[in-house]
Amino acid sequence: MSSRSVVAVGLPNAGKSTFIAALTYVLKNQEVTTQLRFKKLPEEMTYLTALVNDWLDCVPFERTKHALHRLEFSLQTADNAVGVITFPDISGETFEQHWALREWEPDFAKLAETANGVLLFLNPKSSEKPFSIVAQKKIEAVLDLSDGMIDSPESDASASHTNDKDEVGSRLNEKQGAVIWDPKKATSQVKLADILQMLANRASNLPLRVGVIVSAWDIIKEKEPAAQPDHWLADYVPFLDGFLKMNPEMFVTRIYGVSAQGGDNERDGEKLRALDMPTLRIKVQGQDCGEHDITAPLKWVLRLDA
Amino acid sequence: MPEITEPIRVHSGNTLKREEIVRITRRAYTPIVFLAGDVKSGKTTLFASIHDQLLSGAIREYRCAGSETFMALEERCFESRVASGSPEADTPRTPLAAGQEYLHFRLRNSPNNPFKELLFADMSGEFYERAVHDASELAEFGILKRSDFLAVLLDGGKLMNRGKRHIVRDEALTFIRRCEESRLLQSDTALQVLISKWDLVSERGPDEESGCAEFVKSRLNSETLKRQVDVFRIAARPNPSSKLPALYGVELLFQEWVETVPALLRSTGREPSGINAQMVFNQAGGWR
Repeated sequence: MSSRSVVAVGLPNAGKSTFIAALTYVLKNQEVTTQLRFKKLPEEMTYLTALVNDWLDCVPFERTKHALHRLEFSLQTADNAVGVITFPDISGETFEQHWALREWEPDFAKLAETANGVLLFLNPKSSEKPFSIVAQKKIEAVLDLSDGMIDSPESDASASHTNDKDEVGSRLNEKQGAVIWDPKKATSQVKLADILQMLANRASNLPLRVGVIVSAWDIIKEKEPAAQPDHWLADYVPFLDGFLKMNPEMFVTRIYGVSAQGGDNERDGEKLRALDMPTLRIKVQGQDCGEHDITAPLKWVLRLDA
Repeated sequence: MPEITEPIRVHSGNTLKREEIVRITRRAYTPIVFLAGDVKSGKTTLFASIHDQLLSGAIREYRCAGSETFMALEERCFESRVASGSPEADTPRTPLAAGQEYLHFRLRNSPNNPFKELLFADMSGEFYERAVHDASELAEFGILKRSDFLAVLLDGGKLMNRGKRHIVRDEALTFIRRCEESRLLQSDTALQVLISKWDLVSERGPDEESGCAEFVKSRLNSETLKRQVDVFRIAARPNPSSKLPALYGVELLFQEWVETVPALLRSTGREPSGINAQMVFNQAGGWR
């Protein structure tokens, strides 16, 4: 294993920082057997230590301020292959800007050209299919509601969708004049597909391995105990799922359900902090994964399984 | 070599201009659907609804495998979504100043089958009106010569208005004739007349439905126009009270557009050659 790099793609609140915090803790502490571990601790750990401490204490992270926070991990596999992994933490806001402004920082462009794989983070709460006004009005008619304060049919189907009545109402009340288009309000699935096709356009080696990380997997499992990550993506994020499936020349995909924190910080914080082995908070579901092995998706996208 | 510090521009995602579609059409056979019709006749709603449906999955088993115009498609769908804050589903009007612009879909019905490319040529309905009044305005429609389909949209709502229906039909006839007389409408371009907003016709009952279709066909037919004319009834985004499903009549059209073969191959019965990802992404002048 020589020098390799992975691009972690995700819109704001997609769970990238929580994943990196949990990954760092697991690589360092080896409380359970995992497919990757640190060969050597990173030289500079200020940023990572702050993330890990917040993760351990179950408190919200300070939002990633830097466009691209370069992380370098010296890793070792079970068969002792070692190498340096570049794994930058890129803020979700940066990806929003890439979409809206159509510009990349030179560092990111260079990373895109050399990346061995992609970890694509999805927050189930903000990966919803867009809810049309026609669909809303049809439901209003059926329910004989006149105030429009209803949920989308999609939102009822799983935890993956916005179902905040007040939020829908406030959006309707925003209408005072002409509708003003804001690229940031575009569908998350489309933004991510666009980012992926641009990455593939830059990549020097196709197909790229894409590990889709469905974050907060515990919320989905609470509602659907039998949920499978690949089926969930097909059902609730169909556009992105289709885009990936229809482009096998560009992307080889695996879908992982990952609960990096293990629960909700406020609701479950006490229970999570009480665990003597914080690694046991982590839940990972996907192909060739141990139950708590958050390193498995990273190993696969970097082609260290070959 | 000096280090690059300036931001790197990536493709805009907005509508394409004619010189920009060449990089798509040179890769593989790409049907172009030229949309013509009055202001608010439903041209933009037509392809915006196709994009919206693809967000939920497939149309006739075709799924979206990419686009160079994702931003433009999202913008055109925005006013139909709750997130816009709009009280009614709407579509932004294509401005006259935009000129002729193109929307792109890359589609596939199986990872084992070739990609299918599709371009919609869209322009403000004001150009249509101008062209009806003045043949010199047809200079804007040069791409029609290369188009596989001329889809002329007739507003079903206006066809239900006794006063306006004759004008709507007569303008369509004038437009088509002008295109033929100026040799923009080639013999191998399929002529399609789309009665849009069919939900507004359908809600009046079966008699009005058949009456409306016959009214259109009585003048816009192969005998009058000396060429094949296919008339379709569509409701891309039916009213919430309508019993018609979303994309009513559009799915069939979509399949015809996507699966059409170049005129040169029609007589041979051969399929057009597809493209593969290496061709797409290794070609100079791609999406960067």
